Amino acid sequence: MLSHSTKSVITKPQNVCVMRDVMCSGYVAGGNTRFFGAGKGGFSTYGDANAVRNDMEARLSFQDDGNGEYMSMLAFCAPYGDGAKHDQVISISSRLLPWEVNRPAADRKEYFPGGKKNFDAANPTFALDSIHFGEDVRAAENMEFISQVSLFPSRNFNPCYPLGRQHRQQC
Amino acid sequence: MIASDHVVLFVFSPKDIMIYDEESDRHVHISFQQALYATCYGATNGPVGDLFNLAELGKMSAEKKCAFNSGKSEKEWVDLGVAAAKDKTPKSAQDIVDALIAAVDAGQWVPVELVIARPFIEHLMLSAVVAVAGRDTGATLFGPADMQISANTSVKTIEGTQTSTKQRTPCLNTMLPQCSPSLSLSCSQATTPASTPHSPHP
Repeated sequence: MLSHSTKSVITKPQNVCVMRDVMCSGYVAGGNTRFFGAGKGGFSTYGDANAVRNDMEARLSFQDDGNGEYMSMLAFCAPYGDGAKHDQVISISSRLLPWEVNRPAADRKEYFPGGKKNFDAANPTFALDSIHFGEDVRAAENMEFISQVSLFPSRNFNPCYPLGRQHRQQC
Repeated sequence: MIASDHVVLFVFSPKDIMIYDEESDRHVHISFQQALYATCYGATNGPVGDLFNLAELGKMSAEKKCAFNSGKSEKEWVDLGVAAAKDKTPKSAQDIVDALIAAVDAGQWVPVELVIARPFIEHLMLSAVVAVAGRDTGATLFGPADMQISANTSVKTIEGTQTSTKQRTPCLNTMLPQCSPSLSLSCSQATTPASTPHSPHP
């Protein structure tokens, strides 16, 4: 066995900058046009909420990592004219956007499609908070990610271990 | 080129959209009906209530009402919304979904919106570490080099560990003639993970 006894030591961290995720190197999943719960043939009638939850769970846990054929899209009902106030990001989980945290509880989730009323109807139906499962809570609490203002629950890769999925980051 | 006896007819309803599919690298037609079914509105385990706020359609501005030509009267839509808000049952939601699909299929405008989200788009990403050159930033420390050899009698193997400051050190093949025929020498380089132990006498 051959080993090396070398160590790199940084004595001035100000001179070092770690730039995460500066460039895309490949597509994984989540960008197709199939609805969660649709199956392969699409919907023939009203969608089944259980199927949506199962598909989301399969996607988030990479149950089918062999061929990676996951669904990608969710659909939400909204009143006419509701989209006019959605020129920024939306949060589809119970987490609040930064500009919502200081609002009274009754005014929160206004940026969900259809507002708080629709969120209260969709959240238990689709188990939307499940998208946070497996994420690095400590990193999120320390605001190490920009995920607090992001729509997407994506995974983050440690640059030191580029092949290891470490955790998801989420809004 | 399409032959003249083949007519390709795409029927789009007014509410259909095209979305780019990153996997197949093409735009895909998403029909209003499929998007509405995807909301699970109307399913027995789907969301209930007046999610389109049809009950408050009467509060719509006059400007918006000018475009309101949905086949149903404003009161009929409001009644559907009021029923859904009051009952909060899948049946009332189904009535709304069926009415919306029928109206859109007839080419009529309907006072609803559907928000489609792709919340789990995932890519492999590259990261970079940038540092200022020079001794001010840090240093690479080199430890002392040494060579340790031990015998493992249970598997009849002599194992050697070479710690070096060089990237590639000549393999321990020079020691092979010194091995007894019954022993094998484990030799692998850290820089070549696929290497296998060498045996002088297989």
